[in-house]
Amino acid sequence: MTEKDVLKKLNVLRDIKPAAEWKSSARDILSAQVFNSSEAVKISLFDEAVFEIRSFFSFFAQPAFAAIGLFVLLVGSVFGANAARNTKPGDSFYAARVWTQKARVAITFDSRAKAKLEMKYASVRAKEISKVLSESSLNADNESDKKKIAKLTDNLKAEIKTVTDKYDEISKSDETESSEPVNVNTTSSSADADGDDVAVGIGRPSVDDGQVFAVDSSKDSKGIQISQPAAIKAEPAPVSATSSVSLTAVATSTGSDFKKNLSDAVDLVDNNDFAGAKNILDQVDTMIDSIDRADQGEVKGVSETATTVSEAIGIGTVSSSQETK
Amino acid sequence: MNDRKDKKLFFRVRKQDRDAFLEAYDLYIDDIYRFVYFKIGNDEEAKDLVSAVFLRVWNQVQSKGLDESKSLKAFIYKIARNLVIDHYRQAKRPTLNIDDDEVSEPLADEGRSVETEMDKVSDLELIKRSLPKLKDEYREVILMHYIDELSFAEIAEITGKSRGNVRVMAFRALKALKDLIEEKK
Repeated sequence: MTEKDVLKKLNVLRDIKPAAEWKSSARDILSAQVFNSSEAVKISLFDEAVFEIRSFFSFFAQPAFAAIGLFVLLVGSVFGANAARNTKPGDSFYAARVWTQKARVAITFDSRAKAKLEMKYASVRAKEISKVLSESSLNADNESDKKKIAKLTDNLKAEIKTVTDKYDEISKSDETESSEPVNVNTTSSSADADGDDVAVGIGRPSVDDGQVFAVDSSKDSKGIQISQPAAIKAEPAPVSATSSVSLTAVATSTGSDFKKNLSDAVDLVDNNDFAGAKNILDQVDTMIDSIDRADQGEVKGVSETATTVSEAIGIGTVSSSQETK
Repeated sequence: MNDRKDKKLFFRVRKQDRDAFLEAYDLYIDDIYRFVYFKIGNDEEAKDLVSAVFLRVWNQVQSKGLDESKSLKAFIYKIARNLVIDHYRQAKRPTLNIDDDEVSEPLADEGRSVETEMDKVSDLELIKRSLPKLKDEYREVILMHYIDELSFAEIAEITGKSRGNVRVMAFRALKALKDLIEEKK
C-alpha cells in the first residue's frame, strides 16, 4: 500500500456529515441569535469596489504570474529589439530603434568612441532615409506626401549634419593628440657616487632631447631599482602612443574626400536627387567602416610596440643595488 | 474549497454582514462538524460544540474583528480547535473513541453499485479504527490538510506552528496512518 492508496481511503471521510435536519435547525437557532444581537450592516459600493480591485491585483501578484510576467517581458524585449533592428524610417518600430541607438551612445563613456558611434549611426540612418526617399512611391504633388517628403528630407539633412559634426569633432581630437605624443624613452644617466647608473624616463620630449625626468633611487642599499642591460644602452627608442590613427588619413586613403562627399550629398538632396545622395552616403558609410577597421588595427599595433619597448628597456630585469655594485 | 469565495465572505463577515455569516455557516458546517467529530468521537457532543463554535465566531467578529486571520476558514477552525481543547479540559477525557453508529449522514448512495458501497464502508471502518490510534496532532493535520484541504499556511495559523513544521508533520502523519492500516489488514 502506498500513500496514494491511503489518501484514496481517506476520501471516504468526506462523506461524514451531520444530519440535514440538525444542520437546518442549528442554522435557525444561530440565525435568531445573530439577528437579535446585531444591527443590519450595509456594505457600501465603494468598499465592494476596493475589495474587488485588491483581490484582482493580489491574484496577479502570485509568484506564478510574476514569473510569467517576467518571461513575457524578457521575450518581448528580445523580439522587440530584433524587430526594431530591421525597421526602416516610417515603420512603427523605427522610433524604438533610434531610441536603442541613443541608449547605446549614452552608455559609451570614451568621448572619441562616443563620437564615432554617433557618426556611424547617423550615417546609417541617413543612408536609410535616402533609400526610402529614392524608392518610395510618395508623390510630390500630393499635399500629404509632400509633407512626408519634406519631413524625411529635413531628417536626412540633420543626419548628414550630425555625421559632418562628429567627423570634425573626431578629427580635432586626433590633431590635439598627435601634436603632443607621449613618448617612452630609455635614457642613461651618469653614474653617481653610489653606482646607481640607470634611470628609466617616461615623459614628453624635452628641448635637449634627453631625459625629462628620471626615477633614480639614491637610497640604494635596500631599494629595488630597474637596471638597463649594458647591451642595449645604445639609442633611445621613442614610441608614439597616440590613441588612434589620423581620421583624415584613413578617410583620404579610401580614395575620396569624406567631407566633400557629405556636402555633395546635401546638394543632391536639395535637388531632390535622392538616389544620387544614397550612392554617396553608401560610400561615406564604407569610409566610416574602414576608419573603424583601421582604428582596431592601430590598437593592436600599439600593444605590439609596447611589448617591444618593454623588452628593449629590460623591464623585468630587476636587480638589487648590491648586484649593480 | 473556493478560495475566492472564502475571501469575499471574509470581507463581508469582517464588515459584520449577518447574511454573509450565515452563508459561511452553510459553507463550512460539514467541515467543522467532521473536524470536531474526529476530535471528540461523539456525534451529540460534536453537534453541541459546532453550534457553540459558530456562535463564538460571530461574537468574536463583533467584539474583536478578524484582522489577524488570513482566511475566514482558518479563523473558524482556530475557534473550533480552542473549543475542543476547552471541552477536553472540562470533561478530563483525553482519549478518543469514535462511535461506530453515530455518523448521522447515511453513507450509502443510490447511484453507486453495491460493491463500491461495500468497499467504501470497509474503508471507512478501517480509517475510523485507525485514526484514533494516531497522535492527536497527526490526526488533526490529516483531517485539516488531506480531507478539508487547508493549506500548510492556514494550518500553521490555526495550530501556532511553523509552516515547515506542519509540512513535515503532514508527511509523517500520512506514513503513520499507512503503517496502522497495514497492521490492521
